Amino acid sequence: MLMTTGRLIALRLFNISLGRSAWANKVLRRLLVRALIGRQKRDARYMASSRFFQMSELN
Amino acid sequence: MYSALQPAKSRPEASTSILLELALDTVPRVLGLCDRNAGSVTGGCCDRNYWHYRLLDVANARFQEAGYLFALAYDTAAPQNAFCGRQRMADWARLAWRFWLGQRNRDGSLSEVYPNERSFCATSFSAAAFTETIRLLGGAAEWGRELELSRPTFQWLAKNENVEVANQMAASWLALAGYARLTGDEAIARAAQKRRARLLLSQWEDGTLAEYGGLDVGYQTITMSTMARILCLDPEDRELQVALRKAEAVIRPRIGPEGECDSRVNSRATQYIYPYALASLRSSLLPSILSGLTAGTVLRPSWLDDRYCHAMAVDYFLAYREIAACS
Repeated sequence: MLMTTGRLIALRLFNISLGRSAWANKVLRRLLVRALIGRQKRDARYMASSRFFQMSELN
Repeated sequence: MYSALQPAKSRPEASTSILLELALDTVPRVLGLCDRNAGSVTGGCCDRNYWHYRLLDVANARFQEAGYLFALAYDTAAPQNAFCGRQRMADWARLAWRFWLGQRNRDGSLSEVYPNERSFCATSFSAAAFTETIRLLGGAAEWGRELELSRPTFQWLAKNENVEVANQMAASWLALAGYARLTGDEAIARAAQKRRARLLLSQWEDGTLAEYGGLDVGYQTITMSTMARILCLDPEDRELQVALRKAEAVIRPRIGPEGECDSRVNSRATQYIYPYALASLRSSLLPSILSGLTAGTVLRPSWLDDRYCHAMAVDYFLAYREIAACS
């Protein structure tokens, strides 16, 4: 799921309001992990794994 | 360990091959910034903060200039260039430009930082890199569809300018001139002529191409590099040749024997120097830059951040090609 302007605004509004609370942050984090990783099929999951270029890709 | 740590006497002689080595050094890094999966929604996007980390709501169009870097790596023949002639490089260049075409605003302009920004800088430089890529990879015959789709971008550039910043004006001139050359579009050719007149008229008597009202050696070399690329399109432009010579003369006293330059007196405090125009002018400053690169006193492309390393690496490729073609 890519970041959009609407999502960014919603996230920042949360960050500066309810997000001041560590408990609310934890809840949001848990919900996002469930939505973006847990419920997705393996190939559609968002995983912050950094894959860089390797010379073998030229072949 | 950088050779700056070695005593000057023991340093190896500066060689032009360092330009190619440093340009090649950045290619794997920039490929890593790019979504190389053609089947992905963001295939061709080179702003990793957008497509991979998802930190931003808009992809910075300047990252797409990586397409030109890939094209140069593909097209530069040298024994140490493992990218030369590899079809994947040409495919990734095209993929980068396809993403660029798709990310434009409705009026053809592009954004760097926020949605609907209409950045003159990003539109000028990325459009110039787009036309330069096409010149390198087959011309209008191979890229007819892309050239047709891109026309609104050049029409937007023809209507907009930023006279306070010479490097952006030069980039827009290169973009307009390049597009006119590839397509034969007369309206864009007239716009390029107007942009040429605006830039050359704005040059100060001493040769300064002003950046926000003053001389900045780093940006001066970017502007000169862009003008030298335009000279390749029209080698008979005497006025442009004179402007380039004057531009080189004004920075000569500001660059030391090992390429060092005091950024504090630059109008935009830049620390780097682009070498291509100096190579094309056969400037006596070039050996100083090469010596500084060997000594570690001149900034290298890989020392720049993700946003600017590819643009500088492009210039290093061009400088190397210029020298190699004449040797």
